[in-house]
Amino acid sequence: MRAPLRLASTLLAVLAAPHLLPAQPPPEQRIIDVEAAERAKKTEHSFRAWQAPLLPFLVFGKAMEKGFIAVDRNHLLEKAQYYVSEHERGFKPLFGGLGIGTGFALGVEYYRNDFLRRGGRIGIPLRASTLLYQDYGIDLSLPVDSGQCVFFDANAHYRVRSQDDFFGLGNDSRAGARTSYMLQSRQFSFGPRFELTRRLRFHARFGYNSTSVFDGKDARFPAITARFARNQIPGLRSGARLWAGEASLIHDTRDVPGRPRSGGYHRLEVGRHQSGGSNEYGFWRYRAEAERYLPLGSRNRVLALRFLGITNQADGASAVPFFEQVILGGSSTLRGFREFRFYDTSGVMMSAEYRYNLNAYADMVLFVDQGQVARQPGDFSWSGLRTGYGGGLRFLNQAGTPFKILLGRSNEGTRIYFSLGGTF
Amino acid sequence: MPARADRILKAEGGRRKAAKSPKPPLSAFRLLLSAFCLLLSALSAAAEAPGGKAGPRPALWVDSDTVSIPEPARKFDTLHYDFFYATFGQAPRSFVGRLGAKQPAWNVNAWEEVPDSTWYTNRHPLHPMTAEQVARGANQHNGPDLSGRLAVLEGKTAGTSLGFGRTRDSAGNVYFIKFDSAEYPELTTASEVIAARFFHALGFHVPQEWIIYVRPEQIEIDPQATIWDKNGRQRKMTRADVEEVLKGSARAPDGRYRAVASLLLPGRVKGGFRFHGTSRDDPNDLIPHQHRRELRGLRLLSAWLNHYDIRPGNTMDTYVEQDGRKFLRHYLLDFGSALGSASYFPKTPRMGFSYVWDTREMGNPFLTLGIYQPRWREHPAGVKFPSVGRFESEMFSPHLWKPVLPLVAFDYMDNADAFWAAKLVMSFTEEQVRAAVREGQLSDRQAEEYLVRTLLERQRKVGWHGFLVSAPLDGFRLGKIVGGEQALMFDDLALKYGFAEPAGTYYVHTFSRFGEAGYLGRPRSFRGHSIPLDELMKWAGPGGDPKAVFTLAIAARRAEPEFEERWVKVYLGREAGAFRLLGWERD
Repeated sequence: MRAPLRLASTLLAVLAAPHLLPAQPPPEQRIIDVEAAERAKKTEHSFRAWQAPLLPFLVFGKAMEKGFIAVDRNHLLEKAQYYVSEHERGFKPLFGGLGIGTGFALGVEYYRNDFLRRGGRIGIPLRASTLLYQDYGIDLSLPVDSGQCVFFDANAHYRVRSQDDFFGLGNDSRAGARTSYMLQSRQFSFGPRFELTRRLRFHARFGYNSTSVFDGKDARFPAITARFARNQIPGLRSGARLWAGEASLIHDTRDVPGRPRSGGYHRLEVGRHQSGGSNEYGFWRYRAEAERYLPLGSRNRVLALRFLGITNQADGASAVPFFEQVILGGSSTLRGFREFRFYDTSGVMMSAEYRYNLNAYADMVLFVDQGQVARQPGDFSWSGLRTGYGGGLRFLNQAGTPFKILLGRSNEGTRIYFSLGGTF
Repeated sequence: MPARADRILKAEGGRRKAAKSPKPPLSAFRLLLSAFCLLLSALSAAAEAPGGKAGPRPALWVDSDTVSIPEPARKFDTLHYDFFYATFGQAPRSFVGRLGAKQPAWNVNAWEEVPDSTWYTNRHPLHPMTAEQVARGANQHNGPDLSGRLAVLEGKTAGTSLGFGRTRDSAGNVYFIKFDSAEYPELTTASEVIAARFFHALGFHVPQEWIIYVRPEQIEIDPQATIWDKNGRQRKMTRADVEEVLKGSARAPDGRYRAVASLLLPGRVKGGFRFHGTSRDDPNDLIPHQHRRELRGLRLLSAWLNHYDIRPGNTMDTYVEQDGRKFLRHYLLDFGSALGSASYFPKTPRMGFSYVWDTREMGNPFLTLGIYQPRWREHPAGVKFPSVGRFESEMFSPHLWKPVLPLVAFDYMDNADAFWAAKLVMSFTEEQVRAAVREGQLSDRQAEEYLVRTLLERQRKVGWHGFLVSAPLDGFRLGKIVGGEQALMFDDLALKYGFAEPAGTYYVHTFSRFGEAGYLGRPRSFRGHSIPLDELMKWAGPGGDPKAVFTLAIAARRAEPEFEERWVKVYLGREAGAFRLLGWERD
């Protein structure tokens, strides 16, 4: 009974004095024109005709977003990092490492750290590339002393280089005489390594290398034997089986070896190579290498200079197999020319490279390379120097240069180099 | 008019005449570029009408974006995608933002302020805070209960700093714990807490955070606790994981570990927000984020505090329930990379001056063959105090400051947004700055003093920039002057904060019916901070259309040559024979 009475009295009160009603909350307002904003939002989230040309990018972007989220949520980068980094023992993937012009190389290595003793390591790498270059082997490194200053290194490898280029011997070989050859080698070596100081190292190596030469697999160019007579080029007829002994002294004062801004790298090497059972091949090899990094008023501008001189001095009637000779050309030696462009028993090369910092992850590079090959160092001449120049980008990380893109030009044309790593 | 003002007026007139020299004819390239920009602007502006209305803006202090919405899906962010998208994918949008005519921010009220919303709450200086309130920040209680043990519920899954994920104290509250690295004690924790205090006072939603000191034996592991280890495998957490974290963390002389504890945000976590566009699944989100003033102005606020790591991954939306409504609230998170810190190590020289990949920054060295290198790269600032990191004011330029990634909302910041942000920054007194810095509990008094000095110097730079690019006239109000005449009064912030000399400053104004030419012909000059309105009322006519709007445009002219003439339009209406203030707008 009370409820209807209360309702009736409320109604009367409202009719008599509507302002006595309890205050209503103020209407909720937006700072914008809601209808227009809703239309705009609908447009934003709908596909518009003018976006049609961008559709592939939109789809790619969406896929990339989903992919990155999946990577992050499942910690795939950490997993990948785990599998590519070394632990006590296990397998790890290998990327590249077969040299320049070998195609995209992949592989796997079984490794064991602290092998036999603390600091020791054994690795069994297996690599192959898209151009059928191959490298299978075993590498061993053992510290001899507890201070880890003296090491014993040993390795044995079977390698196939399926399609290296050969243009003939000498500085005047013709670019148009390009041929292809294949090397198959079995080698082992061993020797001590002395870490004399933090900056000074001494290596000695003794070993044996049996190399066979075949026609190359690059179908675009003639085989080496189609253009050059077997007896015209040392080593072409039956390869070479060489015993070798080498010693090298290395002085390294670079601040960060992978991306130096100051300091230098100096190396002297002498080696004796002798064919077993005959005097067909017997020669001494001398090698001098120097790199200097000079900051130009700032660590952001560096002038990098490099000198490389190699000579192979054959005994009397002996010769130097062509695949053991000095080879210039390509992204690591004489840029602007093809890989493996020049062969001869002696060679000299100089580089001047101006590097300047674009940001924390990239250096711009301008370079000039000069080099020549000859039978004897006395045959070098200023007029015989071949010159390449160009520029490019080096991508950086904390430790070094994981990747670089260079454009080189010479009188034989323009070449683009994509390469992994590379300290100089 | 005083002689000095005359000289300035003449000089100004000369400058304006000089500026009217004939422009060179448009080249074909410029025509093409203009056409391209117009096309892009038209395409992008097709959906951008609701905020660009001229005239008085709504007199609202609350933008009601708290309507109940269905629970949105959880969004995930990834730094890698953010990097590619912001650096390369967003380039066209930012290009348009920089080149095209920028729209004013949409969520600006009649008084050129940002109304309260789920994104922003007006605090200081609109509701002046004491130094104690600034120091307390968002904290609503005294922090974790450390009388008992801290139970780690999960390992830290995001970010680079050392710490634990969800960790429960004896009172049952859940926190995230972050430690300092052993090499840089106090760096991360102090930066985190100090920046959080400032961002709270500036009006943003931030987590509650405290500096705590814990003994290793206080930390226990919940039986269900899991961790993603550094090998990317999820497994049960062990004591060794705790020891691993503590091994790299800074330890106080008394054996305790200093950490920052962030209280778990209320509501359900829904992921970070982007700095452009709207969220499809949030019906309340109708203002594209690049048109939100608080997000545009956040650029200068972040610049002041060197909050370099501001990006979608360091923001968070949570689905909250309040007064029976369920909606998204938007937070800023993770200030461990603010001030001189970059998480667990000091900032590198690049941070704050360059994006991770900054094409423009690379352009000058590239074109000059490396001869030009920015000053920060050639002569980087040093780390004076390990607990402060790399934080300086000498090379700092607010308008050149850059976060880790390009953010569209930052590119859209216009002069009015910059002024709004500068006004906020300048509103902090030295006492308030000291109070916030003291919350960092730096043990080295000199380091604390250095931090305060540097913040105050950066504050001046931010203020100088904001007051140069927009008319620093604010706080317009109606009052009576001597004789009872109605007058419009205002504050000149450039004078208030000592950026300009009163003796060399005078003002000019024009008056007109909204949308029509002014009646006064050339601008009238005056001194003082009030404009008598009786003469204007006579012209306007006290009995006309009550809905008519009048514009009183005011600008300051100063002796300091850096200040250009910039105008503020004050909108007036009529009511009972007098003017009433409808708001104002900056040119």
